[in-house]
Amino acid sequence: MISSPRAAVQLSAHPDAEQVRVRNNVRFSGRGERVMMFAHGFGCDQSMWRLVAPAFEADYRVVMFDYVGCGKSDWLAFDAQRYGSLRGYAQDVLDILNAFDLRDVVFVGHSVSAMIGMLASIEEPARFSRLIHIGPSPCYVNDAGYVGGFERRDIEGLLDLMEKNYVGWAAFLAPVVMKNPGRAELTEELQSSFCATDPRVTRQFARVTFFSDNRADLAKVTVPSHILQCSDDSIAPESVGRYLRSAMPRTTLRQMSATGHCPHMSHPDETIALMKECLQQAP
Amino acid sequence: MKDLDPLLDSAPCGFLVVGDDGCILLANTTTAEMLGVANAVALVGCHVDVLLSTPSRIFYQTHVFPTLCLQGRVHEVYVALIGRGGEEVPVLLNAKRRTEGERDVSDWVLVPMRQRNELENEILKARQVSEAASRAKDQFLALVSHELRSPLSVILNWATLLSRGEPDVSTLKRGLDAIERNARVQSRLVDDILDEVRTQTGKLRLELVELDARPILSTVLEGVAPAARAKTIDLAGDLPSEKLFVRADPDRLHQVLWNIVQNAVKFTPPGGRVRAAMRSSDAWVEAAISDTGRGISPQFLPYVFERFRQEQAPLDRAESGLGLGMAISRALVELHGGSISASSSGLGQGSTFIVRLPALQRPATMAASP
Repeated sequence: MISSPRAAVQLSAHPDAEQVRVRNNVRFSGRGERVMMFAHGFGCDQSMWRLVAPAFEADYRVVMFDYVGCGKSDWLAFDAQRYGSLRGYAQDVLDILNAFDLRDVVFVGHSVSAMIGMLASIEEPARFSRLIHIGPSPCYVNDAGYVGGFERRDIEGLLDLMEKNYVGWAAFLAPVVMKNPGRAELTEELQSSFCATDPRVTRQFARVTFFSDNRADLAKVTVPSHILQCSDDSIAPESVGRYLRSAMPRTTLRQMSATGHCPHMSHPDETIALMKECLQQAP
Repeated sequence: MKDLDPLLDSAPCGFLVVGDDGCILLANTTTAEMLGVANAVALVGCHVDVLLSTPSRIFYQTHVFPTLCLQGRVHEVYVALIGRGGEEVPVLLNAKRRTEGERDVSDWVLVPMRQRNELENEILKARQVSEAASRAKDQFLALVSHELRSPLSVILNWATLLSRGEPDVSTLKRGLDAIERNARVQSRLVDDILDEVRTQTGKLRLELVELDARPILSTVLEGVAPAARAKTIDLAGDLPSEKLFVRADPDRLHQVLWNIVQNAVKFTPPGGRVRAAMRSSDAWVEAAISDTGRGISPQFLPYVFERFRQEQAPLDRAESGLGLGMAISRALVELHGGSISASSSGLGQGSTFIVRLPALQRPATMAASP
């Protein structure tokens, strides 16, 4: 993965660019004129795109970033109120696009980022040329006449499970990080592992992700979009993909032979091929 | 299915080979035993999602699998498997990804952790309790500062006003009254805090004497009467003619009854009624204070006597106070060998507080006193 933060700063005229770059660990690569932005899903960080993003670097200027509290973002920038809904995360996306003055962006969002990108595109449609959603879901919890795949108690169970998986170090180390903002090496140590997340953030991100209901927003999307739907995705079942296609204007649905929830990691070749197919299609 | 090394097949941990698509390619007999499945072959070909509890499945798909792809391995991940009977089988998972011919697979080692899981649940619960306690303490500190500052600013304002120029006699009197009243309020707050600290450190001491409990309640009622009159609350006592002997610290018993009666008046709207009765009941002397006030919600009732707890959130409280009075009262009553309880049919339904102290049948010293 080629990353060049210095180039990013030079490319930008916006005074907040440096601040946003650090906050969201924004990285640029690629040589194209057009811009492609990759947004990671819940549970990981931008490194999950490493098998897919390079395939677009010849034709696109590729932008990747970490949401606040994930990966190598500035964990101390987490604001429970701002990130209390997906709109706060959508604002991160818009902040990056504004700070570096990016337009006509192809936005590729995995999982919850599909909805984040969609919300951002409703706010500022001119910034986007297309949305590519990988394994999206507008609502994870079952509702009358709608199968999201989960009951509320499943999500509560997930929160408990995550707490247990973090309790070992979160109980001791995380408060140290919180109370010692000057001691960057502590945070760095935590962040050195892949898919590192701040346990405080993760808990709220999980809540916001899995309890969000964006079904009412789908009709407001004006930017053309493409859905890549996995087979046997236990997070976003096929019925959800069909629901999205029927509820969203100007969208196409492609069924992948890839199984699971992370085709960009398990089946990068098919993911790349389908993305290219989407991009060739007239919007 | 490939044959599994007999050692691996019966190793004291579960072993699986899982494809990137989640399909189980190999399973050992120990895994089958952990799940209550007849034999390991039955697991082969199943999707790993089927073996995981729903929360574990989400965690696997969103956290474990991506990390496994990027890092090549994961260590000590807690997940719950679902046994054949639907029961949860908590395990620790270590997994390592490798290439096998054309495809990527992961080797999973599953270590059952039923006991450790129970222990961790307890730790988790204890942590949540301690976090809640710490939050309550923070709120309490904010509240103490606020409560101490209000009378202080009245005192300071009056002192400044009176020291400027030459106030006339009525202004002077009004000012001094206000200063005295607020200083008393503050002194009571400090007393409560000190009592609270003493309770916590076990340093609260009683000066026990044998006494008739009735006059103490009478004094309390007289003391609270002005406040009740000001709110047009009908406050009355119901005391028997015979003496009710207990072994008690008179000041502390007064404090307890005063806390309860004063609270009853505070939380009863104008026009309401407060009754304080005292009687002998078996081996106990019982004081029952009931009111027609706003009552206590069933959710809050269990916490009435807990420290730092008040039914209203601190920011939208109409009445002031530290939320310590009831906790101190309980500690004091228990030091007397008695008990205190609260009951209410719910919000708006009034409430009843009952204090019970062990009755003295034949007071030795009391008989000799005049």
